[in-house]
Amino acid sequence: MKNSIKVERAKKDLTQADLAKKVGVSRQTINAIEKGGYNLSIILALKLAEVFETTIEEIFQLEEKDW
Amino acid sequence: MKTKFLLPYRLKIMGWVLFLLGLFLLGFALITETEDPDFLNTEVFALAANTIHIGVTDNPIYFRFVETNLLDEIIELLLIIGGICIAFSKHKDEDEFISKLRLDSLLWATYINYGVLIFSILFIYELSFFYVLVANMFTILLLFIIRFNWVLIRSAKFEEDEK
Repeated sequence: MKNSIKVERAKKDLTQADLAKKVGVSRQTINAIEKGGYNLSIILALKLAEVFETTIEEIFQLEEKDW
Repeated sequence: MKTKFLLPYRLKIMGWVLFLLGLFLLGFALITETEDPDFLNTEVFALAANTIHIGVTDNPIYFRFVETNLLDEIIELLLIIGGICIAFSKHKDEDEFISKLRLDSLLWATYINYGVLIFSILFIYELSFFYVLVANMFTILLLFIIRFNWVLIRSAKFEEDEK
């Protein structure tokens, strides 16, 4: 799964720690998502979309290998 | 997804105290090879207590009071209870990543533990194998604690470079 968390974070000028606090997870979680390969829950994805004021599909895109 | 089976966070520190105390007593007993202290000799109720005497067939002992030294039991309980409190108490920031890490670490520790045990079954025998079984009481908890915390610390270090 591709994601643009880092870009969205930069748009809102948030550090990993700031973002983690906003969505109620540990910094390790945000780091794991950005590094890729981490299957986050729908609830967390929805929270991130709300914080970034966008949709889940704008942040996360399926790749060939996800199928 | 929250699990109901985790222990409260405050038990983690108590777990470390118990575990380190058990480790200290174990190390002390092994290194100094002292006799079991007299004040720990006592009678205990045994559901089963069959002794091993070479060449002699003892009558098996069940549901009786027996005389024993409690040092072994104390060390074992400290290590096990301490280990469980460390391993399965909630993390400060409990979230989905930590839950996944906990599951992965538990799987990993179980695989490694039984892998070593299978190896021991094939290549280690007699009294030596008994020592393996004794160690096996603690190794799964130990492996879990090591892996869980190692990955956590490594992830924390990684992100210090990130803004």
